[in-house]
Amino acid sequence: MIRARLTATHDAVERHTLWRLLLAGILVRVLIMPFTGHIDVLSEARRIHYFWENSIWFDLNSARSVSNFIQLFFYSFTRFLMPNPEELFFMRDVAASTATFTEFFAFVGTPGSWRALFLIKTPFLFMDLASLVLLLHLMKDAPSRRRMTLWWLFNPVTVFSFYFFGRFEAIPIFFFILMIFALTRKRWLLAALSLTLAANAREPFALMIPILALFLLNKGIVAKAWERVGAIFILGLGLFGALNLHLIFGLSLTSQLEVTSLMAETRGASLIGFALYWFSLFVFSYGLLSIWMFSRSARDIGMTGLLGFTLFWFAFFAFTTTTSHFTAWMIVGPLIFAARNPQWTRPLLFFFAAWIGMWAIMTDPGVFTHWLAAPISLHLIAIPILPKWYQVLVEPHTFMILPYMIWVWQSLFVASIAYLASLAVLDFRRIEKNGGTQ
Amino acid sequence: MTTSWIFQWTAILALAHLSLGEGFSASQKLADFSNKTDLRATPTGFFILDGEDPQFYWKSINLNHYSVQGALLILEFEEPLAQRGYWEFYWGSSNEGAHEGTKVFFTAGRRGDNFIKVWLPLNESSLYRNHPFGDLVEVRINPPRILTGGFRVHTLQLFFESPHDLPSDVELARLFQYHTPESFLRAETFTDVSGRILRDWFGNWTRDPFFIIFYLFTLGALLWGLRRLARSAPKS
Repeated sequence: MIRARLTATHDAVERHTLWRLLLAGILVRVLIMPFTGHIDVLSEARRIHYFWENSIWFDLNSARSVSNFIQLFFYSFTRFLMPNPEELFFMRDVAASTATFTEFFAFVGTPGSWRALFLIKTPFLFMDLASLVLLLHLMKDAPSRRRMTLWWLFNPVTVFSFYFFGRFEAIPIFFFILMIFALTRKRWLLAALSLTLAANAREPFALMIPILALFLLNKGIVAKAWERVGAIFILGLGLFGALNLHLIFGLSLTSQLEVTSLMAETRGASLIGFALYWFSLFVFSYGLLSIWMFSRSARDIGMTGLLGFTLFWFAFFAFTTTTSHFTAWMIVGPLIFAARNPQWTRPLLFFFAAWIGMWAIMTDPGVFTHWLAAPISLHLIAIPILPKWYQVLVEPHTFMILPYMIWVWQSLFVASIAYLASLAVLDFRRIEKNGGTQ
Repeated sequence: MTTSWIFQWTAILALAHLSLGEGFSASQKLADFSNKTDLRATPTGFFILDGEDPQFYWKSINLNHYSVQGALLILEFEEPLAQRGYWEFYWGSSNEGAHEGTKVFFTAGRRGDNFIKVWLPLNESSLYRNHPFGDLVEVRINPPRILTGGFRVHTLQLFFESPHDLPSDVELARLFQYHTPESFLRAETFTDVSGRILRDWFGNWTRDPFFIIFYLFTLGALLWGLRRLARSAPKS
């Protein structure tokens, strides 16, 4: 009886703590939501609005259909609250749906832009909190749940990505977490479907499809033949959609000119562009990981999947070039590990510091300025960004020219990733030694 | 080019208006500034466009020497706009014409507006970098029916990189080849501009009171919830 009472008290304390953290987390988000957003937030909102009002479908939406439909679903409820939507989301030419800086300024200067930004971000808030619910289900005990809540609600990467920057990353990340959740529950079809949804919410998640397909063929996975075939078929469909392959075959849905298949997307060169003649670290790591996921006899499927996909994102962000808010994609794995093991706290804090330092010094205008992607960007107010200050104030007095300083911070960022990767492998080994339980 | 497609004006056509009050007649200046015009001035000081294919080019401005960072142009309308419309501003060269490739700026006007205002951050536009400040500016307004009355320039301000670059009033007058009423044409630095944009942005505070009430209520509710939870914490 005493034990039961202690357990009840313990549960009440835990619930109380989680509620306080949750309310504080929502408060932080609400404080940010109306006031900031990258220019692409407007581009995306315009496409949603034009689809809703005029049934104009943009080819870009095909590769991100899941994100778009979820935003569209929310828009159908919030549309009546949107002030002057025709004016806010006005698009002169539907063949050029990506907003220009001047158009963004027109948006920012329009009465009601704060309200619009708040409403645009409501689906992200929903998916963000839904992600937390899933993550809590991955935790075994109260301290882990508390740490998970703390890390998820207050880590700077997702808060920046979802709310300061304001893009839809919360949507693919939710489905990515759902995939991890499905793997831990041995729900192979759900895992394949979740990754397919993630890949069709944000294209780079499609890079994980071959890895998951190989993993599903792993001998350690006990599944019926039709389950494997079904899962791989779903993944194939996901790949087709995420890569916008219909465009390769000339099946454009609109007359939009600015989008092509991802297979022809020149920015994809960043995946192998960081190469020494023939050797690409990303492809090398990808290959290693694929072999490991395919061939190693996995005892703890969930843990193996978590480690594999965590290492995938580590390789992606260590060896390729991206932008600041993309880092949110890789943060799920480290946060799960950190919630389970408090020893991750300091390395993770170092990682956040390196991330902020790197993007502050190598920023591109309007993306990670000291305004943190606020609507009032460099283009409009011309206040110099940190690199410019550095060149004016520091460079004349030292050999550390700006490119050296950028390399220093990039190296620190990669070092922090490498350290986290080693921690993840050590945790994995420790858990396997203990019989596969976390 | 048809009337139903786009009217082409020069921004500084509008500038022409500035010069009118200082000893020039409308007809004199318009003859200087336009090569093909259906523009006529009204007694109230506004200009009215009519005709099938009005095109206006303003020439002979060259500010390269002064490292101009940007400009603010405010157009005033005799009657409120009949519907939503947009303005495109083109910088170009009188040799090549202000064509599509030189388009750098865009702004929208709302139904009921008496003014439109556009910031022209010249040196910050990637497009502009390939098209140094020329001597020709066009303003296109679409659709043309949004104007039921006349228009005129309310303000044109130029912004220079630093106070050291600021030309004197005399130099400005020489640059524009006419006398410039101080209230219309002023030189500012970007510091002034950033303050102005910030004020505009913060203007949402008063322009959307329903949202502000909702927002403050939400924040208050969250803070109240947090406080209530803090007071009712169970003992472990």
